[in-house]
This record gives sequence, C-alpha cells and structure tokens, in this order.
Amino acid sequence: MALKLVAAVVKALGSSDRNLVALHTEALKAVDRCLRDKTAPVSSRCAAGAIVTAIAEAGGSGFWANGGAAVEDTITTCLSAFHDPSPTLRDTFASALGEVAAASNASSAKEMVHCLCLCIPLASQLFCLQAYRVSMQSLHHVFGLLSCQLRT
Amino acid sequence: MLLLLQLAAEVKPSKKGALEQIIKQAVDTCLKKPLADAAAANNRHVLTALAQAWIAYLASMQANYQADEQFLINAAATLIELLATVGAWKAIAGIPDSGTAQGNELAESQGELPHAQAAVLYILRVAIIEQLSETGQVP
Repeated sequence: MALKLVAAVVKALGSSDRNLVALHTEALKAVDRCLRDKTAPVSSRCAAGAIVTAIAEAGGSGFWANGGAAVEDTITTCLSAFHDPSPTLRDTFASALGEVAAASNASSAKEMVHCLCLCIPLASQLFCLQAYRVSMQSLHHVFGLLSCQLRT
Repeated sequence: MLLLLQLAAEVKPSKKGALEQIIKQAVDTCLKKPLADAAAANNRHVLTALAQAWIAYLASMQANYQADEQFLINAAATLIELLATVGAWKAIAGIPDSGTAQGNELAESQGELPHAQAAVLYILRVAIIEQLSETGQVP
C-alpha cells in the first residue's frame, strides 16, 4: 500500500522538480528493500515494479545520477524478476523494463551528460580560486609579519 | 595542487564517457541482449516477459518521444536480425535433437526457435504493424 503511494507521488511530480533526483533515488532504495524481502506478497512486489515504471515515465532523472549506477541495478532487478514464477510480477516488470529503455531518450539523460561536461571547467576554476585564496592568505600573513617587524 | 587538478580532469571525462556509454547502450542492455540470451536458452517465461517489455518500449517511444514510422521499421528489422543471428548460431553449434526423427525441419539444430519466433512475431504484430499506416503495412 505504501509502495503504491510512492508510485503515485513519483508520477505526480512529473519531470521538472528540483528534488526529483533525490526522490527517485529514495524510491529506488525502497524498491530494492522490498524486492530483497523474499517473504513479501506478490502484490507489494508488483507495486515495486509500478514505482520503477513511474520513475521511468517521468523521465528517469534518478537513473542518471552518480554516473548511471542506479540504472544498471534497476535493469538487473527487472531481468531477475523475469525468472519469478508469478506471471503478474513478470508483466509488471516487463512494462517497467520497456519504460526504462525508453527513458534513455529523455531530456534528463542528456542534461546529466551535459552537467558532467560542465563540471570539468568548473572544477578547474574552483581549484584556481582556492589557490588564489591560499596565496592571498599567505601574503596577508607575510605582510603582517613584515609590518610587525617594521614597527619594532 | 596541480596534481589534484590533473586528477580531477582525468576523472570527469571518464565518468562522462561512462555515463554516455550507459545511456547509448541502455536499449541494448535492457532489451536486445536479454532477448538474445532468452532466445538461445528457449526460456518461454522470460521470452513472454521480454515481448511485453519490447511492446512497452515501442509504445512509450511513440507516445512520449515522438518516434516515427522509420523508427518502428528499424525496430522490426533489428528484431528479425536478432532472431536470425541466434538461430544461425544455434544451427552452427549443432544442438543435438532430443529424440526427434531424422530430417526433422522444425528441430532446434536446424536453427528453428519456436518460442523466440512466436515472441518476435507477437511483437511485430502488436506493436509495429498495427501502428504503421497503410503504406507501411503493405510491404
């Protein structure tokens, strides 16, 4: 029941919320926990599949964070669910897998790659700024010492 | 400091490259490779599930990402090619028949894969041909 709520929330937020990545990551963690529990009833595992579908339909931003670690895990989970004896579960994860494949064309995927492109010059600039700050601090210190010496 | 800068510059391109690879190969990893594996193993349940996954993928591409007819035709070609490749490999590998008569044309050693063929036919029929217009359906 709670999992169905999570799926509904993911669907409702669509694809342009700031906290989307965090929400998707948390939802995927919940899915993993649910599927690892072998004694869970089929309906709750089906709901976990529905969450994956909802995330992928909303653009799958949570998949591409952290260099795509989540998407590989999700694909493995879907494929292992295909060996399950219950046909409803196989159906749910089948649609989930299809949506995940389609989500690779989403704009959020391209944005993530662009973000990583931008990180390189940004990181280099940050390093330069830090070096500048350190050198200014040391200069300040030296001036302080010099001014002390000059006064004496 | 310079060393750190160089290290950071090295890490970021490889991460970006890795992510790009994952995204580009998402379709392959999700759908094509498992279909090939399941066809080779002749696993009926997995093939049914993968057929549904393919249908969901094609429907989603049409609904959300404006896939055109050419995309559907390419997908159809990919599926048939995949089936042909797996069938050819099986024929070459010469899987021994399980007690069927000699010269049986429908045996696995001849490259026939009944479950996989049924799955691919289902995908083609439901997801692709239905969606194509008159001009697409005729050939």
